[in-house]
Amino acid sequence: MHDLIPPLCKRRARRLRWAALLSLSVLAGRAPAAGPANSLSTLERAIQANFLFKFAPFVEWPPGAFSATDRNFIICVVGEDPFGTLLTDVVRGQKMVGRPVVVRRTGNESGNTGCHILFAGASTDPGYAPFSTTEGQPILTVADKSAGPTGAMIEFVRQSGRVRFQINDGAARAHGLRISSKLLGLAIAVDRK
Amino acid sequence: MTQASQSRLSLGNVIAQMATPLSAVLIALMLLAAGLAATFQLEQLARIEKLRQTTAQAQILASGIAAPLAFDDDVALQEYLNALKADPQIVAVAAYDGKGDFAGGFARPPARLPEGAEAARREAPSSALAVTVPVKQGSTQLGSVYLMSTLDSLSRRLTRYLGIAVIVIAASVLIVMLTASYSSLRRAHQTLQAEIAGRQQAEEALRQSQKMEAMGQLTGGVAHDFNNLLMVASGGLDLMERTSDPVRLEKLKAGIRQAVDRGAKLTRQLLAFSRRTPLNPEVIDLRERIRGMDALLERSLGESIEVAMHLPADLWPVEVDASELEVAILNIALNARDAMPRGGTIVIEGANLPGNGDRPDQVQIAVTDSGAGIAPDLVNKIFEPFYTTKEVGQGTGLGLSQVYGFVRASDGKVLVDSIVGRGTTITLRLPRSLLPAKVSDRLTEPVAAFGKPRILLVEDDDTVADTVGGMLMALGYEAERVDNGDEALRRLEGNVDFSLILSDMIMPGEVSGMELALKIRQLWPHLGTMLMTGYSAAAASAAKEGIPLLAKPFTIQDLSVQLMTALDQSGQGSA
Repeated sequence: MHDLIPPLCKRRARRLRWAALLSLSVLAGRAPAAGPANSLSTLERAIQANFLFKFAPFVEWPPGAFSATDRNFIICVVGEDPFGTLLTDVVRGQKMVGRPVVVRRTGNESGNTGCHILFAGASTDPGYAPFSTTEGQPILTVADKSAGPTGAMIEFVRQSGRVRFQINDGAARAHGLRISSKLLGLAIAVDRK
Repeated sequence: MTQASQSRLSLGNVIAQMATPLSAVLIALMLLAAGLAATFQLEQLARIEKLRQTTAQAQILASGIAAPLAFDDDVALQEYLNALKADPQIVAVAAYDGKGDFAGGFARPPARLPEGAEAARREAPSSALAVTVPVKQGSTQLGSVYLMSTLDSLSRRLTRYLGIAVIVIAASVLIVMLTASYSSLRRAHQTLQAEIAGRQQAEEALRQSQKMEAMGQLTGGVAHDFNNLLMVASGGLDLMERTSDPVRLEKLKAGIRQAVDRGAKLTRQLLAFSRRTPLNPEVIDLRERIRGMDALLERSLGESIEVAMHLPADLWPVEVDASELEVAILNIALNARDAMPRGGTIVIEGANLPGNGDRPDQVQIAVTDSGAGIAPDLVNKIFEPFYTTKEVGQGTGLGLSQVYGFVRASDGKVLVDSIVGRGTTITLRLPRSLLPAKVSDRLTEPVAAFGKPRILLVEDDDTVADTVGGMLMALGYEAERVDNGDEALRRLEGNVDFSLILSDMIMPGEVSGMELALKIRQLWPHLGTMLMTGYSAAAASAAKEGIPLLAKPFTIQDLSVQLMTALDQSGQGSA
């Protein structure tokens, strides 16, 4: 179809906005490729916060994952919190499975009871093993591959300057979580064991 | 006429009244409107169907792009959207993220994409084929999809409806044409009917004028003949007053007599023509009768015409009115004479025609002339009343029609055989009678009464009464006259001293001649009655009752013979 004209102007404007933010962060002297957690650009953190929340609709928790006493959908952040208010802004007013979404920051404490999604940030603590306590619990664990602990079910990676993710579907299944094939399709890598 | 056929008739009328060009156009328009309505309905259904398809497509798309939209995978998103380009009817597709910002899509001109999800949602209902479907994963809305599609192209749809359009238009045209031809046919029919009515009127008028012409011819001929006769009679009377020479007187008397006889014959012919004269059939010997006409024929035909008769002696008798037969022969002979202006011979031949299976025995009389002949196309006309080839005043056109009337009334036939320039044969065929012929009792002299029988003469017309009274006295009867039937009855009630009552039939007063005769027969059975009339219808009724009748005009000889017969029958004559 020769006459197809995507609304380039609009789309270009959106791209330019993202690109501007990215280059701004690069100019600010923070290397996007590697480095400590705090080396993440604000834009990347914003995207990750957004993704973190958006994973939820594509994941199915077992019925026992939702407590009868706590009526919230809880996203826990352990270790260093890279998002700050970004995540709180994203989830504000949102609901998941009919429950208001709240963010609980536990710092280095591993009090992950009642969490549905657990994001593990970086930590200087040598005994930092945030996923050890989630073993056997239906908690979706997420981490930044470059700035967080290993072993999360979903790990953020950086590819061509964009935030992407890879999924360990086997681990998710082992914890009673079912990840939608749509999400799996979008992942750059899926470990199905 | 039954009710059913009446209603069918009225239904037919209603339909005939409805079949006007206007109604045809209305029906055609209705048909067109129905066609348009059906097309519109189909369009609506197609639109609804298309909308459903579009919605389904949008929902499939929404489900597919949930993840790429949520995680900003522009490449995957665009792949999903571009897949829809394969459908040429999809003119615009757009995806919007959770915030309502544009995420991807395409549009084919002249369609354009809404700026944002809100605008898309607002636009969707107004243009019915655009739909906005939310992109949801679980219960979370991740964005929305906008999909706009068109119906088939106009030309495609027109092609689809072309068949219907052709049928509808053809039907409309057909209706209009049929109705137009029907109404023109109806107009032609009405014109034809008017024409027929007009022609019938014209025909009626023509018939009337023909009748008038015939009347003119008749009155012309009859008046001319009568004037001649009257001229002879009145001239003769004038001359009689001026002479006393007996020989001359005798000659004048003979002339007057002849004129009067011809007048009587003329009226008899007229009556015969009108078929009102009572036929007086008797069994006669044709040979004797026709031979007896020789003098009459010679006198009537003139000197240049010779009459030859070949009548075998063994001719069978026939039962006819003798005087009518004579008139018929005379009429044929007169026509033959007129066909031979330079003279010639008229041959009268007689022959017996023995019958076979389906034809009875007949006697044939053929009259042949050597005259001009009759053209074939006129042969059928010569027996028509008033048909004549002669000048007005020369003939009445009744002669041969009398022949025809006489022959038909006698159960016979008349045949014409003619060759132009050679001559004509007119043949009469009369049925044979098995009775012996009556010996002719023609009396040349009046028979005087025996004794002096008294006759009561009932007659309202003084002249006629005087004449008949004079005749009766001349014959030796004693006559008494009364004016009408009532008076006659009163007279008879006083004293029945008459041998015979001789009464006119049509008279003023309460008792007609007929009633008088019947009453006399009832009251005085021995008293003889005889009626006289010049009116043939009355004569017929008298004949039916068996009452002796004298047809006016009658001669003194007729009167004497009839009176003798009547008196003989009533047993009074010989007294």
